[in-house]
Amino acid sequence: MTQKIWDIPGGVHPPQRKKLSDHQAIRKAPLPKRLILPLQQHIGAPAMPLVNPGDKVLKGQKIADADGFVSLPLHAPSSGTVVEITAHAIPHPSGMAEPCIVIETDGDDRWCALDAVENFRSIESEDLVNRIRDAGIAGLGGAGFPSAVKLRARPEQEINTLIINGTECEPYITADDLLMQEHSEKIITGIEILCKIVTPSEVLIGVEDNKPQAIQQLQQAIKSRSLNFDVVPLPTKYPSGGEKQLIQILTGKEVPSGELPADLGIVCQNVGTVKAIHDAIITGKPLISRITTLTGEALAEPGNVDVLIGTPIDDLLTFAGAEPNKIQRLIIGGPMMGYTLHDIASPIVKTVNCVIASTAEELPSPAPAQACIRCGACSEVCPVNLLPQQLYWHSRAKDYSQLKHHNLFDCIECGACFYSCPSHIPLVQYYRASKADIRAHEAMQQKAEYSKIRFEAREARLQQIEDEKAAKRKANAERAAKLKASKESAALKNDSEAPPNDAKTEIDAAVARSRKIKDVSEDQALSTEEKALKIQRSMVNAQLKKLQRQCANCPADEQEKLERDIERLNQQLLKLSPDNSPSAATPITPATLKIDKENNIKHAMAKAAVKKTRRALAKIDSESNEAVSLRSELESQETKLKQLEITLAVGHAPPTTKQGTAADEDKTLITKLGGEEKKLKIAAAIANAALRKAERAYADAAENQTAETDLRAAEVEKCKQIVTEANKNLANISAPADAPTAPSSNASNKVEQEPEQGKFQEKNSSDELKKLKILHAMANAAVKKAQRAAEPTTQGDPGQQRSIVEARKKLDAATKALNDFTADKPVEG
Amino acid sequence: MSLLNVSSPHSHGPGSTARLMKLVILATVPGAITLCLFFGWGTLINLIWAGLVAITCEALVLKLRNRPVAFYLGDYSALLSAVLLALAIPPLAPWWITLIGVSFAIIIGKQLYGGMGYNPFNPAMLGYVLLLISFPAQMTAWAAPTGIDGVSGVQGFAQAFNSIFPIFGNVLEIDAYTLATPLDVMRENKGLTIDELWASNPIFWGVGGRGWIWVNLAFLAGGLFLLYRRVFTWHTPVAMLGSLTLMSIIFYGGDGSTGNGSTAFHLLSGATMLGAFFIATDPVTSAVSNRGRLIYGAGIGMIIYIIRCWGGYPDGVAFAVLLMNMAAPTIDYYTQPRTYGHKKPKKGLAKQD
Amino acid sequence: MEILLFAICVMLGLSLIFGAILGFASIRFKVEGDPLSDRINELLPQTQCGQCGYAGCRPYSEAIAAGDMINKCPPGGEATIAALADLLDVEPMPLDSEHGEEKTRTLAVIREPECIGCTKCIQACPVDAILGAAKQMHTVIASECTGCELCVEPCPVDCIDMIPIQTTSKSWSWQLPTAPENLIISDAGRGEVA
Ligand code: SF4
Ligand code: SF4
Ligand code: SF4
Repeated sequence: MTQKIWDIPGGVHPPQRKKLSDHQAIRKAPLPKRLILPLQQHIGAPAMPLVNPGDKVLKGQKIADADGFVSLPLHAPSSGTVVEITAHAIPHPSGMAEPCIVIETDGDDRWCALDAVENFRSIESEDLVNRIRDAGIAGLGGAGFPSAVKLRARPEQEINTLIINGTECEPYITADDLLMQEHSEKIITGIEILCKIVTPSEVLIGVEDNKPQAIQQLQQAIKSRSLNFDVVPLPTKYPSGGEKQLIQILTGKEVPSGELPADLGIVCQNVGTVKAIHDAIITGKPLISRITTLTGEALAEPGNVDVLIGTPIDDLLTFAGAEPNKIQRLIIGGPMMGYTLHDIASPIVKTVNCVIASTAEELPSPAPAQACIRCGACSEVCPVNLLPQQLYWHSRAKDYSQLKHHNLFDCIECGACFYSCPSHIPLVQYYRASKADIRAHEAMQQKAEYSKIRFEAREARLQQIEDEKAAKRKANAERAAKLKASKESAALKNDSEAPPNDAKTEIDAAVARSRKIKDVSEDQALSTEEKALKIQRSMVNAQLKKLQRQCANCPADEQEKLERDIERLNQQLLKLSPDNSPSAATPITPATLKIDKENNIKHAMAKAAVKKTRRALAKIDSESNEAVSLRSELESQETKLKQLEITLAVGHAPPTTKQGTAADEDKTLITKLGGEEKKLKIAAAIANAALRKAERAYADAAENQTAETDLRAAEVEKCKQIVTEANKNLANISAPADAPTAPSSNASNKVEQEPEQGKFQEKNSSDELKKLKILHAMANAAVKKAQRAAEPTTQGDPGQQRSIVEARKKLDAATKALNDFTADKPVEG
Repeated sequence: MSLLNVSSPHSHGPGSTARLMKLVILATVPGAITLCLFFGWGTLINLIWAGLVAITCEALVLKLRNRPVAFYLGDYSALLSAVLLALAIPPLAPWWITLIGVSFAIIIGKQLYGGMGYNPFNPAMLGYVLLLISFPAQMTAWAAPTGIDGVSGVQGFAQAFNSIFPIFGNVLEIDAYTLATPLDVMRENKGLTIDELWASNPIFWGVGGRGWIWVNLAFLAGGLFLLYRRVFTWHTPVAMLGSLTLMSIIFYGGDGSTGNGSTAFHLLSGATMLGAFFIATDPVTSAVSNRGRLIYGAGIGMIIYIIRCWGGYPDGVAFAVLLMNMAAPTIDYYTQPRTYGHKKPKKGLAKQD
Repeated sequence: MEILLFAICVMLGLSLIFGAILGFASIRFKVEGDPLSDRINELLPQTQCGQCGYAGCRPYSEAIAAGDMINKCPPGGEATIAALADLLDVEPMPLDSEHGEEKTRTLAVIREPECIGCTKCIQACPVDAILGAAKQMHTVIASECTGCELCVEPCPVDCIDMIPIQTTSKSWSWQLPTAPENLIISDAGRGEVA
């Protein structure tokens, strides 16, 4: 019986050129020295590496696992050592590098244990699908869709037709042809396995009639097993091998736009994939090699090779006798849909069915595009009945809605339109770019929509908080009087009526207590245990508050129970409060560090406040009286800042001395130096701030073009002097900053002798480092911000610019000194 | 080795725009020869003169626009426009008629719109209509075909040349050599039956008029050659000839004086075949889909008939083509083919959201 | 004279009748569309950066609806201006450089070791894309960041970088080929093509 076939619209007949590579048997490619295995060789999520550099792997061993449903594992194609996991050029039209596992082969080609199946008929189909997935099988025809995903049972749709794609309609490629000729038995077994999984009522094997030998081999294999598979010879026409086109040819049905063949009850698999499935089930071998056509006129020995996945393409080209100076372009895949390779060090991946090394005469460079003459040659050959010329015009106009209206997304990018376009317009490139543009545009719109929702949600939240605050303020005011009267008694009474303020006072008390403790034992910091307790405390607190809230609006009978809970929690809270904390028993770090940090942060915040005032000032500097008031505010802010900085500085001094008496001498030295450095640092920062202020004022004046200018200039001059002085001090430190090297090396000796103390010190200095880093970052920020502030005003004012440059230089010197200091620390600690 | 990186496909068919244009020019040869045979050397002189004017104009504009002149001249589109216009102009039209027509067609009809591929109207027909409206006398003075008793026709090359380029002073008395075309006579006819008309005027011969039958058949042959070479699809010419046939059958008024001429007369007279295969099929200005081309062709056929029978001009190919050029974009929007995987073809413009 | 009068009367009568019909139709078949500012807001990029001088895209959309210029949104750039011009049926105009330049999209990234946990950036972020708590390290949720740069300035230690969004092999795509030509006669002097 001959199977009825349908025709597809359009199509072209490019020169076949299959003769180049179809006359010799499949050869085995030599084992390469290095195998490069991209983590993503399939459609879906990239695999997750399971190995680390240095690991020994065996042939067939899983080296990366699937990450998600649409993903595939990866296996070592040969035994050897994993040398690195790194970005490496991969075959991709972009020519970009992607993460790859690189294996150095050991030449033994030792297999790991394989899990072969004696009789696949006795295995559950679910298990078979899992084995196919575990073998890492992706569609070998070119797209690389994970086969298991296609095969996984879909309860809502029964599969009644299994189509095996052996068309290979692209010119040049002969890999499937040779595969069908040499491995027809395995292919037929593979199809039987597929039948076990999807239980179709008919099996159609589509092969173009330019492969008579392959058709004959398959028919023979089928006959010898008396199966009812149909080998259907198709007229040779490009692109009959496209999945949708093949379905149309063999069944007359069209896959509805936006749906999958499975929705029609059809599953389509490539012959290469079917053979890989056979290998995976019958021999247990995962997908580690494939048949690839090496062809093109720049090769002395074109032909088909059985090549390990990951083999670098330049190795293969050498194997096929490539003449490098004859190669003009290297194409992965066929000449109609393939892409050009950027880097010949790229490896063969699962989807590479052909490598064409073409000469300039063979596939000449594209002719310059002329205008579209709307001849319609393109729409004549379009296999999906589009109007390519209209798509072209709309692509150029970036008219996305028209493009979608003209079904751009149904274009299969087969290239038939370009092939026949007399004006040599790179139509497919237009479509690809437009598709990507539309997708990006839609993604952006989606993101905008999402951002809008988030923005509005935030606005609503802020509004709500604002409202709540207002309501609370009102309520608090009402309650204040009552509270004051009954404060003493209410403090300990856990009445259900008790306002949250009660808990708050308690917490406040607790905090105060903890402060006191800290003050008393300054050299005792929060231990990890203490921290945990603190967290616990806050959690209990939160729970308590929640309960109280609940209690306030629940029926009376439940109140009692809740009250009991509250009581219990309160006790817990009491227990957890720092009085009882067993901090003394645990290792200690200097508490001062913490205070320092707090001060630092306060400092940063104060700075920000200054900056903001300044910004406000800049805005309204023309309105003078307001400016004056603001400026005074700025000044007060700055004094605050200075004060803070001084506390910061002072805060360092006492610990230094205290520690000096408490701990050993080395420690003292380090801390002292750190403190000194910091002090000077701060001095520099203050000076810097003053300078900035002056500059700011100067700029103001300059802007206002007032007579004050001179006055201000003088002020700036004065400030500059201060800065210079401060910087001189700062510069001095760079000398002492070198000093710690010697004593510290002493310290390191000591540390070795006293491991206990060494650890202690390590901690100490790393904290110190952190502190310094923060300071450093702040200094950095200060310079940057000063620059930014200065930028708009300094144009055309070289004097001022110079002063800023000077200040910056000096600050740079200081930071460098700081760097030296901090850089030394880790080495010694 | 430096590798070339381009988007697929990497293989290209043998077709090129220049090749298409050359084929079309080649296909006009039988028609041109027939014209020369019946109406003298004037056609040939016009062809050469028009070609020269077209190439000069094109080169000039390209130069002004800073385009690579040789590259764009190499597409032969200017030459084709010139050839088509020269074939449509009366063989003995003076040189400035051709000059004005061709330069208008190339400069305004084509290059001002952006050059080949961007012109909404068929340039040759734009030029022709300009001439027809501006210089009706010269444009309706067709040389008499040879083989009519009493009228000498244009005899030698020199005579034809002299009538086109009257450089040597003695302007020919053009009336001596010209005769109304059959379509003209048919339109002007008021009282005679068709048979009487045929008998009364020597220009009528066969079904289409002396000379005209052969000219049309020659263009038909050229057109069939182009169809065979797949330069265009059958849709436009078949639809155009089909609708012209249909119209002439529907409105066939018998042999009486109000009869509008037989189907065969309409198919084989005037510029019917030239229009059907060489002008209506101009890809740039026609509809793009096959269904669209059917509508486009049918529209042209209908308008030709309407103009011939009831309009103010003897022949309507140029007007019909220009009118349908205007309708082409709309036709395109409503004749999208049904794409694979879609139940129905899409129509009209995209929805604005 | 009578004819003239008659004609005038007829015209008057007709215009009254049609006017009544049209008036009725406009009430009866009125289409409730979104308010204009909503439709404008749909077109804005929702970066919420405030570069337009308003506190986010919605306020700007309201301002446009009330007659403000349409060229103040740098993140949206030419595309947004074109879309707005289309919607409002006005001439597209170049971006007002006073509000900034159109830049490639960026993402905020916090240099985490330097973060002091001040929560300033959280408060600045218009779309809640920053995660963190007081004195804890903060981080930006990349998928939610609009690249508005509002968090950069408040950071006291300047540890937020705006990183241009990188193309990867997944987001890479072919570019539109350069158009062979789109020429009118005023193109003279544009230089050789091809
Ligand atoms: S084949 Fe090329 S020139 Fe012809 S209509 Fe299509 S795109 Fe235009
Ligand atoms: S590339 Fe797209 S538009 Fe061109 S022929 Fe193929 S399917 Fe049609
Ligand atoms: S400038 Fe910023 S806030 Fe204003 S509309 Fe544009 S994205 Fe929104």
